[in-house]
Amino acid sequence: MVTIADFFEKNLYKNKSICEIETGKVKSFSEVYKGACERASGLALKKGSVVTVVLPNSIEYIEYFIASMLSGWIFNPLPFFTQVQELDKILLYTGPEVLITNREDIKCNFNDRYVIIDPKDGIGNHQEFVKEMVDEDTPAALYYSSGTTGSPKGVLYSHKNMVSLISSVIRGFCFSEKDRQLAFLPYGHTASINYNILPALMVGCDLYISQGFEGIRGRFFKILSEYKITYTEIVPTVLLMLNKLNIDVSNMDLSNISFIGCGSSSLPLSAQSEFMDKYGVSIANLYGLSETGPSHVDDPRIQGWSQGTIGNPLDVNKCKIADDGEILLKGENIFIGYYKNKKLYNEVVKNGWFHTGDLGMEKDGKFYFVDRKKDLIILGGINIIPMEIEDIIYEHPEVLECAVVGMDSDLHGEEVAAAVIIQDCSLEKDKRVISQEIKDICKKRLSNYKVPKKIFFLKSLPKTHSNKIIRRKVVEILNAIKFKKRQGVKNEKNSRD
Amino acid sequence: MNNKSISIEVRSIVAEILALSDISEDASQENTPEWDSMAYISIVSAIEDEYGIEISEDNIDDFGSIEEILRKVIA
Repeated sequence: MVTIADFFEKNLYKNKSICEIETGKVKSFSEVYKGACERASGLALKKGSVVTVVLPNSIEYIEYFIASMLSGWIFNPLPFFTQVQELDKILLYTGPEVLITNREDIKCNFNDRYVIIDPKDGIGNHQEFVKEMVDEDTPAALYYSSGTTGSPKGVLYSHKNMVSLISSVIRGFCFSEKDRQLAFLPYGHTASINYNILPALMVGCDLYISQGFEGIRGRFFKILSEYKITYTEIVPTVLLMLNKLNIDVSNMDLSNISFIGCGSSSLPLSAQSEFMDKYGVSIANLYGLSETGPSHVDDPRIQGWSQGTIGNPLDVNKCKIADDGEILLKGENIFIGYYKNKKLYNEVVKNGWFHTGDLGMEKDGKFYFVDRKKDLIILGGINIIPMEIEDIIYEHPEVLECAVVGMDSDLHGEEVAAAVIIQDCSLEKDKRVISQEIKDICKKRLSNYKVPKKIFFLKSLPKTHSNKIIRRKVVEILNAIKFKKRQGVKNEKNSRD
Repeated sequence: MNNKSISIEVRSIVAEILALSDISEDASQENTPEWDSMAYISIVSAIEDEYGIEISEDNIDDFGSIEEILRKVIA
């Protein structure tokens, strides 16, 4: 068996289904498979075609995934709310044969350049579906992320990568056909795909899907209880929000949930403890990257488990810490290349070891994530490359120099902020105007979450002897200014009250 | 603080989170594209911090417009 779809086919006889929580729509595995075959024959693309999907979480999303695996297409999921101009840049880079979306603005903007399919308009020509023979070393997916220089970066993941990874996830997390998975994180990112959807398709268990946390946040635990969910994947922002909600779970049966996995950005220990104390559900701290998928398992069910680690490597890969502290990974889950960028691949994969760009340590066989080596902002589990935003800020004629960094955020882990040096920063009014102009430029070109929420005007930026901006120092300065401002506002408020 | 000042303050908090220069009293998730799910969580948190409103499963979905927020804050 070469693809995830091959494994899924073996599970069709089981009485398993996929259920959309918001709509109540339920489809058996056989119906999903039939839908996937119809979508595959309807599109009738040749093997190796890039199929870009910009859809909300749904059963049809999963059908397009299975259709891609059955047909040997390269599945290219993109976040549903990607801004049009940003999407333009990505599509120029990936050059998809087909773009599948139900967003009207995308259809209007790209109709003349790409073949666009809206699932609600039907699935295309009805032909007899013929399954393609697929080579395990060919790309199954193209996961997009911003490149380190702000230019697009696509991670090519082969069928062999995917099957090796997911079977290892199933073993490592002890998933079985008795599980009931809940997948609600945006499918344009890999977390729900790797932890929930693909394991469910491969092992053959019931899968419950939601369009997003927004739709279920008020009844999150009710859903876990009602649907007897055994596993779900969240990000720290979701955990922090659930902590805030102080939901009374005393009358809910949460005994089916083995534990909840939390990944994609750093999980504060105090928040993890608070959640476990408040709701009596264990939280695992998970680690992985687009290039590798989940690489470790932190299983709170193991005797003697303690918080703070990312656990042990999954059996699909080895992990070691380099002399400079970087986390290195080697195994069949390591991606096969960056799309159209062999040079970059050779920079990060050396002798089979993938250099993660993260710093870690090992103690008593457990691994710990320490810090990021590369300049990356992680907001609510989404990776943001500062340079992509800086390039746009530099287009403002008054900006002499800038540094975009992730400031501490209680809720999202980090939030985007910019430290800017302008020609003449003496006039407060000018700063306000320029600040808004910078935000407006960014808004035109970037998705909302990338637009700097705060812009600070500094007289200089901290630099090394070789004139490189010390981002860590910039973060410290901005956090200090924010703290001071907050204190000032509080004092002023207190004196007013 | 009177209702007018509260309204100005709330709008200023929301506008800052959404990276807007100003926001009208009838702004909501429906008519403000910047007010996405990520921003929603930031707004809830900021309003909670600023006005000490206790967020619960019963009111978590009630922060989708300036009008709704003002109703919570002024109540």
